[in-house]
Amino acid sequence: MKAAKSVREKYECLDPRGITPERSKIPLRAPRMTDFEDKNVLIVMRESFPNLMPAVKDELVKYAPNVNAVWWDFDQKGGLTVEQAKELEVDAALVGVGY
Amino acid sequence: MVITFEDMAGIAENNRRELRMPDMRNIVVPRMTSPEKSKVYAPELVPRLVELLTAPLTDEEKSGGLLSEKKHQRIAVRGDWDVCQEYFQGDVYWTSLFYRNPPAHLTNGSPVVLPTEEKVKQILAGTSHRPDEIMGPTPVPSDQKEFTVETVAINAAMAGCKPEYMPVVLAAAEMMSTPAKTRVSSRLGGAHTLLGVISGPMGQELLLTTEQFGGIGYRANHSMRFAMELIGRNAIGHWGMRGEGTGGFFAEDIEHSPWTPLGADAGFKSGENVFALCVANAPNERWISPAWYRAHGKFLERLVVELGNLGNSLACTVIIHPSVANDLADKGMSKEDVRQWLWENATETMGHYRDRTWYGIMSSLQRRDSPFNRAEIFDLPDDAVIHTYKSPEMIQIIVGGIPMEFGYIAGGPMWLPSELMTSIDKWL
Repeated sequence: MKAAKSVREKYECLDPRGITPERSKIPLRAPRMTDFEDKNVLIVMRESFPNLMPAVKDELVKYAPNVNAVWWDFDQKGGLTVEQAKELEVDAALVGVGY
Repeated sequence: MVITFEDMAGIAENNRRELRMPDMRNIVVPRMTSPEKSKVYAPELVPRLVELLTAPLTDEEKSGGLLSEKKHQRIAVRGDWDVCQEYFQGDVYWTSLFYRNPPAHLTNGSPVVLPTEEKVKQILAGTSHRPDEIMGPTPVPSDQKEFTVETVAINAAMAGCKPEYMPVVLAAAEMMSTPAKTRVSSRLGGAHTLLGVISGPMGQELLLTTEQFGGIGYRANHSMRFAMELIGRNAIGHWGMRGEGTGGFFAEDIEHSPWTPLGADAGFKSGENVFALCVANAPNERWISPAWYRAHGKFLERLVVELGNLGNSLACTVIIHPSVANDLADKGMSKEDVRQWLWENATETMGHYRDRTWYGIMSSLQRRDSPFNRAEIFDLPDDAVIHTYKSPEMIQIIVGGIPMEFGYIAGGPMWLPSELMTSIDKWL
């Protein structure tokens, strides 16, 4: 009978991963609102938030009665483009993302 | 500011990083499945939202700098077989699709062939391209990694590919990293099924079966399918937590098809080996059995019904068994005739269209300047009848499949069939 090897065979395996290139981080620049007085807050409702976003809108208006809550239904209007956002002159946006 | 469900917090974090905005403000919420629960939760949520909307930017948020990841070494692991296999395979306890990267380290959970230098060198002999040739789009999209011919070879070796498969696997890697593929499913996530298809003589030369899911026991089909999954996960970096997998890898049945091959549809020259990547939304698949076909005939009429029920599909792949394709050819129909017939007869009301799953995403792309633009339909009333697909070109027809199923349809979101086809021969 052949004797078992006392030392198990060793392997060197190459790494199958690609490399993530270094990328520059985009800093946040837009100044934040200090209050909601006459501010346009865009509320974007996507598919998964049909219940929550309307409730958020109602509650936000209760919290800040002078806020202008701008409603954007993704299902009805599609995704919001940068140009559309500029036209709406929004001061802030709340977007529900996920599914 | 972004609101995200708690079980998607991981993917959302990755997405912010991919967008190069890791500091984008976000808030994580439990899933709200009813209006009543949402109304109860909103008073708790809104003060937190207000705080995040009004807090001044911190120095860290305002700062630039570089996003970098730890660079890995060329040699990933040294050790005996068990140690190396464990390094790649890890423990699989995939508890949730969206929480975290799956614990199986660098595989889909299956064991792999250990990619030693010698093994990878053997695989590289299957192509004339240099190992250090960089693949994929330039600049590298923010949600992808940079990878080379050698990176593809390492993954092909792990999947058990032979050297002669390498040109096909390289073509697959090229298509999986194209912007068109990225549009489908890199950042979107979702349960997508990929089908890899070879059109041309190489399919038969490599002994690929023409069964669309590759069957069991076919090395060429299975190892190239596995290679696609590994490349997607390891080299390109798309897969893992996104619910995307490779459903099959097969050859178009050019031997028994009465029609021109798939490559010819996209303008490739006769006899050229072509790789096509088909992207299907996993739930959007329909089958037509031989028993039904023999009993009822009217194959195309049946297909049409199904074409209107493929969820958010902007394009689709139809696989027709050679026996049916020959029946249609006997009636004088070319592949183009079939495509035209299906397009003309696949109609639905605008109300039905609006009620489709993921209508928002689908319509968003169709409102923009893109090959899918159908801005003219969105103001139509619910009872207006529209074509299900924008044009016949959105319907891809492949002759192949298994004798147990005569027809297969998969709806693919946001891709043009011709966008995801490339020459295999250029990778020889």
